[in-house]
This record gives sequence, structure tokens and C-alpha cells, in this order.
Amino acid sequence: MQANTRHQVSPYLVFFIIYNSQVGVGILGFQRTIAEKAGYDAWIGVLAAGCLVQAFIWVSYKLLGKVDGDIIDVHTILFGNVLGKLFSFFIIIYYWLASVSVLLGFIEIVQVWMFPTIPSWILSSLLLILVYYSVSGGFRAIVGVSFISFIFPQLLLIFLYIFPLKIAHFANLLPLMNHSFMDMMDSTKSSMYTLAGTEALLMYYPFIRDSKASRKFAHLGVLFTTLLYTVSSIVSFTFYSEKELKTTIWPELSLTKIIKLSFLERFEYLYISMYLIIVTSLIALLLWCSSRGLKKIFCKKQKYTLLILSLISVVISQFIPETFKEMLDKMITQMNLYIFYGYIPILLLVITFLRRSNQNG
Amino acid sequence: MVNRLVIWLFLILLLSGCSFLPTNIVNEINMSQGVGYDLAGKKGIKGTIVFPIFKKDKSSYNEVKTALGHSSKEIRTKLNNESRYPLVSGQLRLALYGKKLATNGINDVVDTLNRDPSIGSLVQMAVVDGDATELLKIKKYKLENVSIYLQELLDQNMQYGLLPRTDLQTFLFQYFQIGQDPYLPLLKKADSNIRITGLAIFKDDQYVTSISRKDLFIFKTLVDKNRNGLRQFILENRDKVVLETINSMTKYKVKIVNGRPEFSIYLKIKAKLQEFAPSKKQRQTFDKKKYQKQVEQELEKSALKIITHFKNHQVDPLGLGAKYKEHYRGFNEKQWKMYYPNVKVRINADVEIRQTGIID
Repeated sequence: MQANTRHQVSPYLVFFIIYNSQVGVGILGFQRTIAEKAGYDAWIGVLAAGCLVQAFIWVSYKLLGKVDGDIIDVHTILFGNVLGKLFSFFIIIYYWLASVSVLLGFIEIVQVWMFPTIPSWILSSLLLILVYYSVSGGFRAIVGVSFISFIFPQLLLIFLYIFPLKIAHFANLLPLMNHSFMDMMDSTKSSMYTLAGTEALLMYYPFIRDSKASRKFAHLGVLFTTLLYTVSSIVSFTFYSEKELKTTIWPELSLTKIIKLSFLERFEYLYISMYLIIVTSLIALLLWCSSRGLKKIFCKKQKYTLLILSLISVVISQFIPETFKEMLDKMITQMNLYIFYGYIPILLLVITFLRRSNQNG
Repeated sequence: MVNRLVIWLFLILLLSGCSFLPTNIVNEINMSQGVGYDLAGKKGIKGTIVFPIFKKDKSSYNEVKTALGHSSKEIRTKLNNESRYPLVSGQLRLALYGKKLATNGINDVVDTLNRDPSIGSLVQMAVVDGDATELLKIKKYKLENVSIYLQELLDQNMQYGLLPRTDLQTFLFQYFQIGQDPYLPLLKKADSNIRITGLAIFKDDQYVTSISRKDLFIFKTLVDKNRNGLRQFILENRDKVVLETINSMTKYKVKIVNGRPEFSIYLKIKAKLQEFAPSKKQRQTFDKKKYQKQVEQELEKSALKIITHFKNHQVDPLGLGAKYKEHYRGFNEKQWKMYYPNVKVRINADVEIRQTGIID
């Protein structure tokens, strides 16, 4: 059930897709949530979460390698046409909700930091037009955008850490491991949400040429993002005092307030605009996953499913109440944890067991 | 064909949609560059905003406006009523606080600096010994931009002088840090000049005490890297030695003795001789070893003096509590506050006079 080679991408590009799927608006504010209970030991939690994501990559490669297709194929093989499609539908809804959450997060940042009066629907439609454009170019176009978002803003943004590191208080991190095991688990759990995104692999697996060879690149991608998140949290932890961090909503964005160039007084405007590229490529990937899933489930053209999903996203971004936003984030965190770290490994066990008993019988 | 038309129409709508974006055209706004707050009445504050006015073919000058209010943004709204263009705060670089207001606590007025996304973290803050409004209104600086003047005055002194680095970011860091109290430069209007007279030491957000200009050298060495700092030592037999630091390093060691923390502070200063005037009034070769020792003793004495001063006022600008917390897992803030007035601090200075200039 591999996709046509014309639509496939080279294995090494998986690195960029994985990176792209993991980095979004979460990196601008996750420092506060992970430090809620574990304090300044939380960066260890990020590393732990990174290990779990590596395990997840291994699991999904095993699972998808067995059927050589995407998660929808797995479901149809295991549960038949109707029940399988129902299960797939839930996962598709997850992808879409994740894209909505990223969209809402970015709109909020733009409204708070740049244009407080601009209505949400304008921002969301501008963004989604861009997304629609890149998704309609097919999977290869999305990979291209991922690649660009890595090369241009991300590598540049990493260098910006020099500014806060100049006045960093590394002693803030001491004493190491001063929190209970449960607190550390809590920080791991909240880091899981920010490191989430690798699930998209379950949809685009058939689009990777020589998919077995791509596994090492996927692991490398996760390693890169884990380190990126760890460095980012350490930079924030050494820059803010602990109580100060707990009052800051977007620690990473507030960091940029100390960057001052002779020709540009307020750097964060540029920073947020550069994030637009990262966010666009992430939303494009997630919407591609969900629209392709819907296409396969309902046998409609991807153009239409994509259009419908985008339109609903615009409507939601305009009318969603503040309380529902938090609920959405919480729901996605829960769904991510239960579906991809509970259900998928079980699926792998079931399919391995079935295959083995088939061979024996 | 129809498709094209739809796309064009859409693009036109899109572009007009972009005009929803609020724009700030530079000569149609008043950029406040400096603010000053003072206590007025029982609970009110008197706020002053300084903004430059640019005129075509004329040199720019400063407008200084004052209003009374209960919050800083209320003051801005009031001042907006009397200014031609809207006041915006994206270019803010200086915030001054009158001593009386600082004694009552400046948290309320600092909050908006911290909250407003358009204000950068590099805003210079200072306490004015006297009235902040008066300082900003000095006539001499009407034509010279007083906010930029003061910002550069402070910057310059932090980089090449004796002030430790402070700005909004360090203030917030120290304010929120457990086991540390913030400090800000102390300014004073002297005749028609503005002068740095020392450092204001806070307890939480309240001004408690200050240290004089003489103690700035040792304070900077204790909390920051001291480069190019100049200090004059008048030694036992009235020999005058003026040293300029090339570099300095400070190490804090914490030891727990009988459950109580004890601190040893190691100061390592590399300096060069700038001026040497022996009491005998005749040229003499500089005896490095002898003077190094005497200078070390002098420094240790003055360090102990300011630390005792801090302990008496129960303020901790050196962040000894934070250092204790880093070192000791069972840190308890209340207990630490009890220990602090009697905590033992040892100073160990190590001065190395590297250069004596081009003569010996």
C-alpha cells in the first residue's frame, strides 16, 4: 500500500518532517508548564520525555513496517472496514484538533504581542490560505516547507540564545534533582505535550521512499528536537528566577525583549514573524494528515476535505471562548498520551501476536 | 477566466484586509522615552512622561508632562488628553522612582513595565534621591534629550564605572529570586547637574537603605565582574594608591556548621596601578608585595563593613540566601531569614597588581 514513487520523499527528509511536526508555538511557552511542579529540575523531564518519544518512533516503525501502510490500513486489517474506519476517525480528529490548537496559540501570540485589535478570523484565514496553498501542492510541498522552516528561522533562532546566555545564572539549576519522583513525572508528562507531533508519522509513513532506511533519520530528528527543547528550557531557567518564570506566560518570547540591535529596537516583532514560517509548516503537515485521513475514510477528494477542515478552523478561531481553549489543550494532551502511548503499543502487540499465531497455524 | 477574476477579487479584499492592521507612523505618535514616578498625597502617584518633539527644519526638544493619578496607565491616559499625538511606550528606556515612592514600594508601577509587551527588558531604572519629576524637568536638558542622556549616563557607568549592571530585567530577576533583594542606582540632582550618588538597596520592592559612592567599588566586585573600576586607597602611613581593575572574580563558598550556613567569599582582583603618591613626597619605586597586602586588608575591611550594614537592615542584595539555597537541599526561607542577621561571612581578598604603568 505504498504511495506512488512520484509522491514519495527521500529517507533523510524524515529528519525535517519530524522536527517540523514537533516544534510549534509550544516551544514559546512550555518552560513555565514543565516547571510548575518540578521547578528548575524540569529540564531532566524533557530529556526523559525525549526517550519516550524515541520509543514511540520505534513502535510506530515496527507497526507500520508490518503492514507497509498508514494507520488507517492497520485499522482496516485488524478491525475490518467499518470499525477500523471509526477508530481511524478518532485519530484523524486528533490531528485536526492539534492543528487548531497550534493555530489558536499562534493567533493569541500575535494578538497579545503585535496587533491587539485585529480580529482572529483575519489572522486565521491568512494563515490557512498559506496552509491550503502548500497542502494542495501535495506531500512533497509540505516537506519542502518543513525543510525551509528548519533552515531559515530555526537555525537562526538557535543563535539568538547567545543574548540571554550572556547574563545567565547557571547556579539557578542547583541543587540538581531536588524534587520528588512524582514531580519529575509531572514535568515529563507536560513535556510530552510539547514534544508531541511525531504521531503524524503514522499518516505519512507510506510516502517515504525506502522507509526502513529512514528510521535512523526519524530518531535523529527526535534527538534534535529533544535537545532543542532541553537547551531552550535551560536558557529560560538560567535567565529567570523561579518565581519570575511562573508569572511569565511566554518565557521564550519574553527572552527576546533583551535583544537590542542598533537598527531594530524591538526584536520580538521579527521573532514572531519568523515563527509564522514554522507554524505554517506545522499546521500544513497536521492538516495534510487529517485531510488525507478523511479522504481515505470517506472516499472524497482531498481538496474538499481540506477546504472543509480549514473553514471550520477559521470559524472556531473566531468564536471559541477562552475557557474552551484551555479545555482543548488539556484534551489534546490527554488524547496524545492515551492514543499514542497507550493504544498504539497495544496495537503493535496485538498485530505481532496475530501474525505469529497465523504463521504457526 | 472566472477563476482568475475570483482570485483577483480575493487578493484585493485581502490587501484591504491588511489595512485592519493598526499602524504607528513615526511622526504621528509621541514616543515616551522616559518616565518618572513620585508619591503624591496618601496613595496617589505623580507621573511624569518625557517625549521628544521633532519639528521640520528645527532641532528637536523635549516635552515633559506631569499628571496625578493612581496608576501609571491612568497617568498616561490623562496626559494623552493634552498631547497632540497618542503617547506610546515602545521606545521607553528610562524609569525613575522618587525616594518616597520607593520607600512605599514600587511594585505597582513596575508591574506595567513587566506586563506591557511593547516595553523592552533593557529599560534603565533608578531611584532619585528627591523628586523624580524635578530631575526630569531640569532646564539644561530641555534641548538635550534627558531620557537618553540618563540612560547613557547609567550605561556608561555600568560598563566602565563602578555601577553594577542593573535594568528592568535584573530588577525583576532579583525581586522574584528567593534569597536575594534588588538594588538600583541612586541619582541626585546636584545644582543643575544629575549625579550618581550610590546604590539604593531594596527589601522586596521597598527602598530600605543605600550605600554610598565610596562603597560601590567593593559592591560591584562582590556582585558583578568589575572591569575598569577605579578605587583610591589611603593606607596606614598615608600613602595614596589608586588602582584600576583589569578583571575580577568572586567565588562564594557555603559551609554548613552546626546546621547554620557560613559563607566565605573569595575576591580575586587583577589590577593596574594608576596613581601612586607616597607620603614621603618623593619618587619611590612601587613595592608591589607590600601594597598588595595592605590593599587586600583594606578591601576586606570595607566588604565586611557593607555586609554588616546589610545584615543590620536585613537586606540581602548579594544573594547570600540564593547561594545557600543552591548549596543546601533543606533550604527553608523563614529559617534563613532568622539566621541572616547573625550569619558568619568571611572575606578573603586576593589582589594582584599586574601592571604599574610604564614606570615602576
